[in-house]
Amino acid sequence: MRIEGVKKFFGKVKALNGIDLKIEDGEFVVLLGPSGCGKTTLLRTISGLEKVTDGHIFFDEREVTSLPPKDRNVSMVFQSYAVWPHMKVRDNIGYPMKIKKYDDEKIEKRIKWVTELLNISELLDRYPAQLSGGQRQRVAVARAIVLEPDVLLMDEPLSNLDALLRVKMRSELKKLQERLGVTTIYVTHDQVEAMTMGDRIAVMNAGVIQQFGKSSEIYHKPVNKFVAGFIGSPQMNFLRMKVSSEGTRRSLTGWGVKIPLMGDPKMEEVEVGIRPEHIYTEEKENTISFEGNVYFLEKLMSETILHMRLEDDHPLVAKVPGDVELKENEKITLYMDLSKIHIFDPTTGKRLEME
Amino acid sequence: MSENRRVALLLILPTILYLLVFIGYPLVSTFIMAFSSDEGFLGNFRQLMSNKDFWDALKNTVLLTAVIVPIQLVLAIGLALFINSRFRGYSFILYVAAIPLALSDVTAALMSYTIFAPGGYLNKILINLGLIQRPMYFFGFMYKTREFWIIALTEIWRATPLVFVIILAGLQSINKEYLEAAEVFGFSSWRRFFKITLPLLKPSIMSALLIRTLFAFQIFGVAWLLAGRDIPVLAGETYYWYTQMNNPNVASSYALIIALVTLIISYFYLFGLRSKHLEEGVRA
Amino acid sequence: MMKKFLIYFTAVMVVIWFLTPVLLIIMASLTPADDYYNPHRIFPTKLTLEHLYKLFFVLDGWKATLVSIEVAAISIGISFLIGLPAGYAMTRYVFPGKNAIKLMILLTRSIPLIVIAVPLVVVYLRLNLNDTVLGVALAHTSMILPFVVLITSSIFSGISVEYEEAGMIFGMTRFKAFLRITLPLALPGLAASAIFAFIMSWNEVFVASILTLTNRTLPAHVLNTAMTSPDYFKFAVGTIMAIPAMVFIFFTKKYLISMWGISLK
Ligand SMILES: Nc1ncnc2c1ncn2[C@@H]1O[C@H](COP(=O)(O)OP(=O)(O)OP(=O)(O)O)[C@@H](O)[C@H]1O
Ligand SMILES: [Mg+2]
Repeated sequence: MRIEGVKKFFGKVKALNGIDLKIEDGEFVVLLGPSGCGKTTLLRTISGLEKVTDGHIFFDEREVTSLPPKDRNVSMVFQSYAVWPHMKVRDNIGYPMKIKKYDDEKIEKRIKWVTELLNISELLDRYPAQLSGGQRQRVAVARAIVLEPDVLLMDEPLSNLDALLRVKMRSELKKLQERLGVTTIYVTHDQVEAMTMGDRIAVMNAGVIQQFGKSSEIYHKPVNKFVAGFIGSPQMNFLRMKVSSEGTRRSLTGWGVKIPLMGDPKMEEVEVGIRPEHIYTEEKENTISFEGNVYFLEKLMSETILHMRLEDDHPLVAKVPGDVELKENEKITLYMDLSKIHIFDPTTGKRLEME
Repeated sequence: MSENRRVALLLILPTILYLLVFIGYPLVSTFIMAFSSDEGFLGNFRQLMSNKDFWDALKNTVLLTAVIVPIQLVLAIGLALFINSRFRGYSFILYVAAIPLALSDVTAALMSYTIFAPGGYLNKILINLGLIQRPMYFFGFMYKTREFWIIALTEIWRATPLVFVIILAGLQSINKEYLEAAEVFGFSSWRRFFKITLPLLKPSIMSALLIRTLFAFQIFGVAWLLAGRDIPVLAGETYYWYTQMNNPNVASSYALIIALVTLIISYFYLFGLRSKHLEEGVRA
Repeated sequence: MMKKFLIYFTAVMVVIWFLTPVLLIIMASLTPADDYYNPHRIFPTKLTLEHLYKLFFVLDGWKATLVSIEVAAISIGISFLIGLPAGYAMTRYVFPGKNAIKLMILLTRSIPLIVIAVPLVVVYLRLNLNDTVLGVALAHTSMILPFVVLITSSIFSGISVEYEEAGMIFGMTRFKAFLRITLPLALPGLAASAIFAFIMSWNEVFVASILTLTNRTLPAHVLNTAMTSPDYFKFAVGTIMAIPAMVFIFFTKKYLISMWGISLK
């Protein structure tokens, strides 16, 4: 599936501002981004519910840009499920096949197949109002996959479920998709969901795809400050630091921290990013030490979120094992993992590679 | 996008055309008819105003409105509060109180007549109790004051539920937590009503008042059936001039005056008496 | 205890206040003339259907009732035929001038029907519609249509677009999705509003009297002839008028408040 230069404007609002995306057959792509960045709009343009303002959409070599939804062979799981309340589960799943002129025998067979697959065979003669949220969601998924679509679209299908069910459904959906091998685009707000489910993740912001890649790539090599800050929890720390030189060696200084550099950023200041989980309380290989005051402790089960103040009261957050003994207002020494440091251009926010 | 617009306009077009033909055009004609007569531009209005009946009709309409509307409002608020307290069986009372909503003014007038006719039930009861010897008369041009009050009573009976549903809908939309908060902060129930419920109810009260005043100015069936032209009212005069006097021009002038009054009242309500707390933060 | 007593006392008073006139007119319409004209007799000795029978078959009440039903049916038909698509467009589409159109529709509801009745006669004379059922129905449509647009728009906005969009994704055209999904879901509300529209037309008297002479609707017929008939016929008419209304309230109980809320806005 290919999306080329797709734009969608609602009056002055630029919901999609030039989207390019190339998705392989059978791939599970997760769309991740803050609220209002255009995820739903993108799904809706792919499905044909919205006409694009500009750009092209191809399924394989077939251009579908101006086709109505019914001719695109896409399926969708809506955020609210949109399981038709006046039809029994059987008809919710079977009716779309009838429209597509499947013969009765095939319809029966496929209903049997999909309901067994999703474990909802006993619910066939119920109305949606008589189902739990999780069951309703499975009906929505059943309805979507039973048609053997070219593309399966899911818009935050798990957001209405409670935490426990969500974790369970997450793995079920992923296994199901692998089994069916259907190209899938999955929208979510939830980073954990994105990281665990997606073959590749597209991070969106302000109507533009910021980065499209494997989850490890996005985590370890964010292309810009937005992606770096958006992915990971607690958020990555950002420190504006000066580039200083001693002879040919460059280093970064500021806030009582000094980071030796291998390359040359060729600018006076840079933005340094370091994730809280890459700051340790013990010295390890390839780390530098620095000092700070413990400002506030958030004790979680197995770990502690450590809120620090560096020199000049610059805040810094670290994630350390829960068994480390710390007291508030204590001055301590921490170790920053040099191999995990990210450096960004302070004006454009772009990642700088120096090796 | 533009395709969507075309579809939408296509769907709406028949309605607009219909309203233009069947409301817009007649409205314009009414204007033209009202302002054309043998005696010049304002001839119909001059003829109409020189007639004592017009002033009587105007006076009666205004008086009826002034009597009916406030009483209805108080009754309706009381009733709405009562039903909103949700005692056991309240839904039956709601149903009973809603019956007059669906009755026409003609029907209501006939019901009123059942009670107040010379052979009606009120007289029967009074005679049976030995309080009077022969029937009391409530209708006829000798008893205009009685007729007036019976018209008022009938209208109050018929249209209080109309005010009541609006107020009840308003009451139901008030967040219960506002009242609970007031209770927590030690408001007496009296204070809760006057400081919380009533102000929050103001928009509903305003729209109920507006609607009732508009309808009261169009009062016709009840007055015409019960009192004929003993108690002339504006809409009744329109009808009279049209059907009995065969003068559509004067009838149009009457109609136009009703429309004008209606407009003034709407304007007064909409712009004169707004609720402050609704003005800010209202989405466009 | 005291409070409970007060509540039930008030409840009884309310019921008496609203129900007495209704019950009395029904009783009066079933009372034989002798009993009615005997001032000492409150309750009839026996009940009779004679007045209702005569009203229907001697005084042309039957014909007037039929006219009333025809008028209501035609105006509901036209109103829904053209008002329902408009109501749909008002909720499901964004288009320029939407607010202006909505305002216009609201405004037409505050124009008294009296104002447009007189010139309609002139138009009708030209179109040969005077004194016809269709003529009255068209006039009633101009009263019912704005209501239908507003109420259907509110009903549709209560049905998530996503149901319809899901239909479109799974192979339906927009029109088919509307027919198969939105319409069935809207049906109870639409039925209630149709009954409501019926009552609006059934009760309307002014326009019906002005626009017709021989093809009178029931209330117009009453207004012009029954008032000169004996009392018990008036009661019979009142009863016939009241019963559909009460049935209506019963069947639309659930929608009562929201419906009136919209129709009165
Ligand atoms: N029909 C519409 N008319 C006007 N603006 C719209 C419309 N639909 C979406 N928008 C705007 O387009 C932008 C993107 O909306 P979209 O629904 O795609 O966001 P989203 O990423 O799905 O957000 P969320 O995570 O909150 O669901 C938002 O600014 C939204 O306000
Ligand atoms: Mg969304």
